[in-house]
Amino acid sequence: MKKRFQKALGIYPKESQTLFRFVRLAIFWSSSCNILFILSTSLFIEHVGAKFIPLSYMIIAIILIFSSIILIYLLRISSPYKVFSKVAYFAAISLIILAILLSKPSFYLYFSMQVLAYVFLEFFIANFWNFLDQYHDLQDAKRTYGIYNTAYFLGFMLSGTLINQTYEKLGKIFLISIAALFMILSIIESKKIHKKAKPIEEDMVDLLFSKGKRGLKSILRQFIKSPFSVFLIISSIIVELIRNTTEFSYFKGLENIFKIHPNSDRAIAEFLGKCNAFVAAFSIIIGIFFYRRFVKRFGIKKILFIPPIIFLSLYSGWFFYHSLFIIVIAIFSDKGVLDTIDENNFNILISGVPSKIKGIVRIINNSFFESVGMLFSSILLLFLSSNNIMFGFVLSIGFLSITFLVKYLFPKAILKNLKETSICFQKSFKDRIKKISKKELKELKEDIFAYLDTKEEKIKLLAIESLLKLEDKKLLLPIIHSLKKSSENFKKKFLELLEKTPFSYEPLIIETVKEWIKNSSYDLVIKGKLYLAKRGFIDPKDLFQNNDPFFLSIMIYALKRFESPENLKLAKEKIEELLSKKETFILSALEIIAFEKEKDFFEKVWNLLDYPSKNVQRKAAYTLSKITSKDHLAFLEKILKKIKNSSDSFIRIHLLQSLEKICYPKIIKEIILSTNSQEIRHTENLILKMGKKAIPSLLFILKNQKYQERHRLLCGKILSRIHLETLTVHLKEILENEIKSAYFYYFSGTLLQKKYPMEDLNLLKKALLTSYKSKISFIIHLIGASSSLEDTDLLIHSLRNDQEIAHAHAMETLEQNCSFKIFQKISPLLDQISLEYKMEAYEKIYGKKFNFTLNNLLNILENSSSLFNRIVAINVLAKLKPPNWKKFVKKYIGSKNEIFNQYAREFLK
Amino acid sequence: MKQLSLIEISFFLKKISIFEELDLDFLLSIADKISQDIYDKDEKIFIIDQNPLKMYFINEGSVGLYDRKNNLIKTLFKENFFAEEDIFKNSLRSYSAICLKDSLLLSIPKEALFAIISEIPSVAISFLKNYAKRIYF
Repeated sequence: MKKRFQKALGIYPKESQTLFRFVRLAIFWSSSCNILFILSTSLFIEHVGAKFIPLSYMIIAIILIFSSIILIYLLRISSPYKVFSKVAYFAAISLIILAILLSKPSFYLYFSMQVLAYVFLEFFIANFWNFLDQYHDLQDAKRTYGIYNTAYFLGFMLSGTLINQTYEKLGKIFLISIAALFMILSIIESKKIHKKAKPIEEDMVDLLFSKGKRGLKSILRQFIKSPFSVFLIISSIIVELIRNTTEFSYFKGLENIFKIHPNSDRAIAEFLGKCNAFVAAFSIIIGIFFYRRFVKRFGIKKILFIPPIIFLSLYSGWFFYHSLFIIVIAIFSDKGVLDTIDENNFNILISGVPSKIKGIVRIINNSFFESVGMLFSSILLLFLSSNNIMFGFVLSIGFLSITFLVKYLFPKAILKNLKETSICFQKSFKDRIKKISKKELKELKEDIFAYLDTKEEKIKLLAIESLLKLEDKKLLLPIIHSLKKSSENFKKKFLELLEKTPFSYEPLIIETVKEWIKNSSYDLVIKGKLYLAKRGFIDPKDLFQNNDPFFLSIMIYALKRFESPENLKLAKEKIEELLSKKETFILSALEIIAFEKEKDFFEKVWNLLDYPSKNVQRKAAYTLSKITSKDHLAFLEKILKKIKNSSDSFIRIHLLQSLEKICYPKIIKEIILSTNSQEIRHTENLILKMGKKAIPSLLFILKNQKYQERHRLLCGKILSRIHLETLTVHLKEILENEIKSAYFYYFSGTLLQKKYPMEDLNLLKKALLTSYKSKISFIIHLIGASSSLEDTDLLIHSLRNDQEIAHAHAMETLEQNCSFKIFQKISPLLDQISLEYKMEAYEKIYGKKFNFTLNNLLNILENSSSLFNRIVAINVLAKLKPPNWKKFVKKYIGSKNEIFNQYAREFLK
Repeated sequence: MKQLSLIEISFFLKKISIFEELDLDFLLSIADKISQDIYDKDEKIFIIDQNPLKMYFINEGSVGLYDRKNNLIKTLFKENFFAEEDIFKNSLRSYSAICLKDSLLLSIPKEALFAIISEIPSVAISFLKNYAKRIYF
């Protein structure tokens, strides 16, 4: 029964205790605040009058704006719990005082009551959700925030019913005393939550709650930098304007309708009480049973549009009808739609606000911006009181427009937040400086200049490197100036740095290097002369008399720069000479061949791939990547063979680059299947160059489960870049098969040991769960390749993360980037839910319960694309020794894969 | 006490032994995840048995580490780092950290620290070197 109830509400067993504590808390404070709110509203309309509503709004807004500053201060020095508790104490005391003062009521008391009612309600809404956020992530919010909102409405309904049943008999003092009692209960409940519930772990500490003393400027900068936050707040202000305009409009309508009634205050209170009770009942039903399902079924992006469309319809109708019916609809839209659907939407959308300012945005929104909205609307209503319907209509259009913007920005904001939790190592210094303003660039230069005088050479070198990357010629002079007192070793490093910059030919640099070689040590002279020779600043004639082999390299560069048939011939002879010497000189020769792109040496360099020294082999591969062209088609097979046989990633990558230059589409399959993880980018570039001719081979590998996932994924990624439409057409079929396999591996891995408790199947379990992870990575990467999602690694990392917030944001990003049907199938696997829930989801998706046998499992593993899985299958077979196991193992003897072959033989022994 | 710009944080990180091998691009990526907090003298950074969420680097000032009996076990100064052990051990804070002077501390979240180690093996090796130095036979 309990389980069924939990399932109906979408609650997971482990969270039910905390959830019900928060539900109780919401009912208590909401009952208390709403008793005060309903009572004060009816007393206000009766004893003060609707004409004072704009003035009361103005006062409330001013109080809320100032008190929000106090609230922010309180949050900076304590925690959301403490602030909630302090506000509750203050409210309880105020209610007790109010109950006493109500025995002698006055105009000012009713006015103050109204103000207090609004202030308390806003304070509690903001603080309750802030308190709640400490214990829930985005995915929890989608499931449970509707329930909390319902709890708020339960309190609302309870207060409405209490007023209806007891107002006449027991009066307002009794009701206010009951409100005080509810407030005391909420203090007790919040204490229990604080003691017993475990808050979620968040690495990104909210600036508001951070211990260090952050300036408001920094918080404001963070806010402005997030367009989503800005538009969310604007939307919130518009909602507040609509809320106040609607309330003003229906109060005005109520005053007109009930003015003929003998006890109009009681009649209005009772009418509002009834309406509120109905609205609350509606909100409860929506909150408990529908909101969560709607969000799951249609996605938050569509649900966002419900409130603006309802208000647009309401105000369109209000132009023509002024009956009690339209007032009821207005109350329903205000209290029901805004407080249920829009409030829930806001609570989900706030996850898109940067983690660092989420708390402050909530407080500022509820206490400051909403108050600004209230102040603004009160001023406007003072002047536009007769045009309130028109004003409401214009606001509804504004609300709809801003909702489009919020919808557009939400997925981007979620992804950005997800990125905040990870480190982007791909972003270079140059990428960063592209995005900064002139002022920031100036500050950056000043900051770096400060390090040019440091005695720590590693820091100084970093400073010079940074300045050179700015690619500003004016910076060369201070850099050169800073080198005067540097060591020779530092100068050598500086020359290496210069090679990678566009300034290597700058006269200032050349003159400086010439200066250095005049009176420096041998090492720096060689380095300097080599640098100058490469750039044609050394005459080869000056070197002819020098027999130092290190000068040979310098001479070759010099000869190449002073072009003449004799010089070029001589340079070639000198390269040959270098190639015939020992390793150091061979390396120099290879460097020259690569730098000068000497294609004539191709065969000689190719032969050096078999040279005994690894350094020479690597340099040869590097050189080949520089000198290969389409003319070397004859070497295609040889290169491919070399790639397959080499275990050195550096060599493989550079040989792949050589293949890229030959660009021959018929070997795609071989290239992909021989690609290792470190070479993926190179293979990708290579095949991309081949264009649409590569599509059939790519699709063949991608669809075929017998190939390894990394190779299939590589095909998927390349295909998405060559012809996305082809990938999209086949995506659904591929993903559905993969998701089914992922379920199989997950359930088998999790249930295996339970099903066969007498066997030690730990290795098999690990193999299955590893395969599951690999399938999930494949699926997400493929979804990423087919959509605009670039950070799939980040997504996978976040989905495996224990940190709830990162996981929840990753789920949201995935939902935004794949088809609804695929997400429905994959989400139970990825959600942090119990095995039981996952199995139920499987049954629902595939129409049958999951089942497996060990034989069937081993059979699947044997046919898996993973060598590890096949080895594990043999291992388990040998261990369990089922009938005919030897026959199974024997078929692998003679396998092409030597490891596998050997493994099978070992087992048979 | 002046807060640091991103490039200043990167240069500061270069001075820290575990990051000294890194190039500017990596340093900036790490600096992006660093938070800066100014602490007053005698202000607590964390206390024993708290959940470890961050590792700290001292940019300015000094920090005292205290055991359960409130004995000062170590004093740390500029360019020293601390509070990573409990993150690696996956245990609660085994000591308290209190500022001995007004200090500017840089901190990196646990998740980011793990991401750095898994992406840049040289940082992991530097940690190992650092720990190896403390082993005596």
